[in-house]
Amino acid sequence: MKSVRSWACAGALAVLAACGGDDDNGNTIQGDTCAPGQASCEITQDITSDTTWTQEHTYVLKANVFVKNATLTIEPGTVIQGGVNTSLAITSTARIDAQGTAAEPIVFTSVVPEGSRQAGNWGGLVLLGKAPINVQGGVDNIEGYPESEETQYGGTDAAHDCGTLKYVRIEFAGFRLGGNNELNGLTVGGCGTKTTVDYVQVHRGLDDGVEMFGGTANLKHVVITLPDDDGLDWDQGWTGKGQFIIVQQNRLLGNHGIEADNSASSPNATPRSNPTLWNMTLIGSNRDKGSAAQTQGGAILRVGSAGSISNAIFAYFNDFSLDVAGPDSIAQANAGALTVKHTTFWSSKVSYDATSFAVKSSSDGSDFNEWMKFGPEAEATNSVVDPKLSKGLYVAPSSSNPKPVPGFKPEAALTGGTPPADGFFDASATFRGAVGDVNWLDGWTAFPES
Amino acid sequence: MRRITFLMLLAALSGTAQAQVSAGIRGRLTDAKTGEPLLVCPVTVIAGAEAFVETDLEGKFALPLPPGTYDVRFWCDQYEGVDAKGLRVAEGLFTERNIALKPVEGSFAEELVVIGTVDTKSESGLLLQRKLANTVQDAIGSEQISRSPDSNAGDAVKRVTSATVVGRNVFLRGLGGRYASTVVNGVALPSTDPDGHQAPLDLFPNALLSTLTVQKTFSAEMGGAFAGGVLGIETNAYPATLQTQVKLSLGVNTQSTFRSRRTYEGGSLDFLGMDDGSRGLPDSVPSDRALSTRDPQAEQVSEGFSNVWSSRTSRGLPNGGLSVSVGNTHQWGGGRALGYLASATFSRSDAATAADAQTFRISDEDLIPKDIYRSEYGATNTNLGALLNLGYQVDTRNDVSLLALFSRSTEDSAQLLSGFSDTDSANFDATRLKFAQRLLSFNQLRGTHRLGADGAFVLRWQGNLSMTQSEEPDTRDLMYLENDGVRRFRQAANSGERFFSTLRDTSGGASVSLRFPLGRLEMHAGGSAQLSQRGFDARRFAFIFVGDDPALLGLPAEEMFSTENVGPAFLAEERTFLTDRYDGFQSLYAGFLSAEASVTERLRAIVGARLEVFTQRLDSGSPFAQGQAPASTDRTTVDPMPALNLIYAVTDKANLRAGYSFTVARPQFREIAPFLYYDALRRRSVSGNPDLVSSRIHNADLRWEWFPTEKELLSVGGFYKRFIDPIEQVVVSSIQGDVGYRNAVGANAVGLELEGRASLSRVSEALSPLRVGANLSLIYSRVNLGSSQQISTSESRPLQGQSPYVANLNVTYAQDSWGTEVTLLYNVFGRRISEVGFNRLPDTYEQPLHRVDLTLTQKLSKDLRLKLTGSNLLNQSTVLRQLDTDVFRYRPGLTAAAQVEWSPL
Repeated sequence: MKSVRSWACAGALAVLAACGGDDDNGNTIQGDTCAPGQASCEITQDITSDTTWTQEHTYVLKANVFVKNATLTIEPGTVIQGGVNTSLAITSTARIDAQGTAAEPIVFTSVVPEGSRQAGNWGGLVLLGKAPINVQGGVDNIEGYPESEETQYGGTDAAHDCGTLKYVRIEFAGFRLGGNNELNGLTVGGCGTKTTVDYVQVHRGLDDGVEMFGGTANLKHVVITLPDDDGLDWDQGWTGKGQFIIVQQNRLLGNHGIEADNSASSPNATPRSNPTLWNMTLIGSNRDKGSAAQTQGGAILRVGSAGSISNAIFAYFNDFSLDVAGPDSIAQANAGALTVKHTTFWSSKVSYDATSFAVKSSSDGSDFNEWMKFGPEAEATNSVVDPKLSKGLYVAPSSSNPKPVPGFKPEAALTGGTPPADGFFDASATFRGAVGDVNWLDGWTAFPES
Repeated sequence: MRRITFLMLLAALSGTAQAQVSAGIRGRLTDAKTGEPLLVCPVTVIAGAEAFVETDLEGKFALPLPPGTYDVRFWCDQYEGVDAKGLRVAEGLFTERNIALKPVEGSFAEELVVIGTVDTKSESGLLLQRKLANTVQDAIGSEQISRSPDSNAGDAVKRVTSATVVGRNVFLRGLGGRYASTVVNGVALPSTDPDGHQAPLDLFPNALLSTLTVQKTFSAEMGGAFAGGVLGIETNAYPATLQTQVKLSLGVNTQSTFRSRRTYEGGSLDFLGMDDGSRGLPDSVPSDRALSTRDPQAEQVSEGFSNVWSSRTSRGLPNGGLSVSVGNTHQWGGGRALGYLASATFSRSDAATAADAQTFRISDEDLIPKDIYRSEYGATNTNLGALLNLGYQVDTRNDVSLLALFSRSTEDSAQLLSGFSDTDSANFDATRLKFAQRLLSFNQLRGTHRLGADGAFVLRWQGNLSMTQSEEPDTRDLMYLENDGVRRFRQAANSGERFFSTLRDTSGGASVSLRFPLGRLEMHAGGSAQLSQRGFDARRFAFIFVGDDPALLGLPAEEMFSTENVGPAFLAEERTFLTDRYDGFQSLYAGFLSAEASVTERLRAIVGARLEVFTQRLDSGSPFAQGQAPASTDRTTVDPMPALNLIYAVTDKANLRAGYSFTVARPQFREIAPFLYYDALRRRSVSGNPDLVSSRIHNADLRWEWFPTEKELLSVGGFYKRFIDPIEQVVVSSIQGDVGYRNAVGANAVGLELEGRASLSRVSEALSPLRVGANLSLIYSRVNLGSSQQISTSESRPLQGQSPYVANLNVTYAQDSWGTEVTLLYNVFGRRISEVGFNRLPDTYEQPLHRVDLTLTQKLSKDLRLKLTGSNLLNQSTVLRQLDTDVFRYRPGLTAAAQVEWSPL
């Protein structure tokens, strides 16, 4: 409440030029002002003291806003809009506390009027922390911004708390900030185990949906719909956990459901990317092989990444299902450190076998074959059966169905393994895919075309 | 008439003298430019005897003198005089002295050492200048350049001791970029590169060059941004008599001439290095707003771009060049004279390289291949240059001159990269079509006035106005990925993009200095102001897929972007970044004072100090990109710079020099601006750092030099430099290798320089036509990044671009009686960092390149000369290497050229 007063006071200061400076907030009032009753408030400056955004206002980002040495609290139902060259970054000295509800989610969206919105209208949301990453020296700068202390992430605090995102929707993000770098809808760099990302949707982003740069943060109830590139991307030694993750690929442009790296330049750098993922639904666009703008596969696990994927469904990807690329990830797979279990693969276009299941890359350099490792003959818990999940495919709006809503519960009954009862995982989710009997997407997700 | 009488009288006198002794000094006096004899010019003994003679009608003279040591002054009206000190005359021998004099811009004054400037084109003149200079310097003149195949200042400078050229950057003593500045006739040359480091040396064709001098120690009258050295370019002066010259050259290169190379469909004026407008921004592109796909005109605008995206192959043509010059001096009584030189040069060459490249990952100490590709590059380079030099001598004490220089260089290129892209897990082919044009217009008015009763006050002034421009109209990038036999257009950054940019830099300034005696001191004081304005403006557009049928993405580019598909399936969209426009302003105000004194008969000391006030202002923000414009930058720094130079004349022919100075190296505009911009060439983003401070440098030099004869030299020197807060580019982001700038903890550079030039007549008279010159630099440098290492792999490493050794060797055989001259040149540099590694990947080193060139010059008739050159005769490859693995390799090929030089007058 203190920060609400501070905002209100700042508003009053602007309007009446009178505001007592003797109260407990003690901060010099600076930054943007937002008067009570003002519908739309522009955010043009960095946030350097504890601040609360309320649903009374729509906050319009006018710059790349950095939150530093402060907590940004966002109340349920608040709408934040961004335009070209804008984004919101929570630096490693700050936290975000954005807790919406299923009925009143917090929405980050484009400032462009509904109907004209497109992927890439604005930048995106960036969380930076001080948990370990595997770049040399342990500290990197997030791309796309002029580098400074504020753009740094990575460190030694595996428990680093970047804050909480709960019931948050991020739409039409992914603007190219600078150079050739498109921001992801949600970028999580070096965030630690105390960070909460739960019930978050990233819809129609120009680049990847969610990208994890190292760190130990966990993901739960994450919905990535129609990204222009990959759905979930990890790199730089991410070792978090994830459960209930959905990727619905873009019809023409989307790349892979998962793109996983350890380190682009040194594939055996440590900490090694090694997430534990349960209950994922990855859905492609169900086109003929080679007929979309990009190669589309369920998951490509590369350059040294390890990890385990269980209770997943990989369905309707155009070009391949699962690819382990490069000698270093192949070594992880052969050593049993990269596993895929209790998982169902399906394509309505091809019958999976040793050649159609994966792609052979010239950099693989060995006789490794994904089918021989992860196919049902090699891994008995995996299967190739129709999950009957076509309701999860993208459907263009039509006059009879102007606002199509996908459904992610498979009609086939697919029993999976039991997730570990470690306090994070829901051990009762013994089904394959991200959605069981409870449709946790209800209420707070949305699938607008534009 | 009076002079003739005088001559006859003196001839009679010397005649009498000659009858008595059979020893003395004799030789020939010639015009340094034309080689014509100088007639009826005085040769005076100024120390050791009282004697005087004039040259005869062949320019020859003979001064009979008893054995001893003499100082002799050579002079001629309208020429700058030269003093030869310590000439020894032995019993029964005539010492030979052939002297070339340079036409004047200044005039004769009663100074003991140098009169005006020495003729610096000739080797002997340069050596004399070096011997007499207050600073440590190395140089080459047009006479030496003409013995090499080098075609411009950028080629030629690498023959100077410890100078190397990396790309277009000159490195002096292993220090490049901000540490090596270039001045033209004393004025700093603006860069044609948006980042502001590269001086466009290739814009100085050697037809316009007189001398390249590398100043290696700082003195107070020089610009304070000094570290590795200052490369001084002197342009040609006017000749004393009417002179015309036409040069025509034709050459072939084994990689490009008549060979298949990459090119593309351009404009109708490409052969002149001009764009006919076909690469211009289409008129339909909105100039008041960014182009969006929702724009009502989007389709019309998108169709306005020329539908050329792909490269093709064609046969390269031979290289050719033509240059003409005319000059003369008109003289009137009382020392009044007007001289002029006008010259123009045009050349065109085709280049082709085919390189094998790969990138790597690292695991432990092993490099694991990542991307593997081949680069095919084809280019046509066109250069046009013109120079006008006008000099007016009011009387013997006052003269003014005007220089106007224009140069244009165009590189029209097509590059095709094809191979495997690991990031995309696919084969790829990427094309870049680029037309880059750079212009330089440099104009300067300067004057010298000798004041006071004996002309002891020398006032020099100059005003300059220069303009550089760099244009890149319609650079096109296109990329396709191929997977399982399906080749598709990749819609991403750097694919389907077009880039238009213009950089303009206008700089104007003036300086004035006065030399005057003050008791036993020779004082030099002056001030200068230089203001420059720099504007960069670019727009980018990307063709994006808006259709429904991805099969279109599999079509060749020109079909994909045909008028039929543009509109329904593809539209152009603005991709201009906020930082694609900037306006910068820079001012430099300086004042200096120095005092020169002969401490003892043999020790000269020059003590000086300079103060510079430097301001940089930068505003950026393109109206074609939305968002908050970056904050403007405005910074002023004041730097005092002390300098001390000591010259001890060990003998009359040997000097020992020592120098110390404390100088500065400043960040460029965009290096201190708090924003990110995109380096399209290297495909990475660059962040400015507003916390950067200027680097300060302690420079210490020691050199011993011996000039046994006027064309011979032996010199040994060492230097040490300590950098405080050196500005280093460091890699700050591991994903794309984006870079930023930091003040590193410190850096040191230490070096040894050796140079020798000798005539082999020392060994045997039979070898007298042979002359040998060699230089060698050994340099060690270390930069310690400390906490600014970021994710650069090396915390401590050599300075980027610095070679541990650089050597040059040249052997000239001159047979005057046949009019033949043959020169063999050799150049080598030690391995140098071409790219700093990051995130555990090792630094990339460019490997040593042994380069051997040969030239043959033959006089065919009185006015016709033929020059044949062969370059890179060992056909060496350029190789970049990480650890022991080649990452980039290509053969530049051998080049052979013939040049005919016709001097009808």
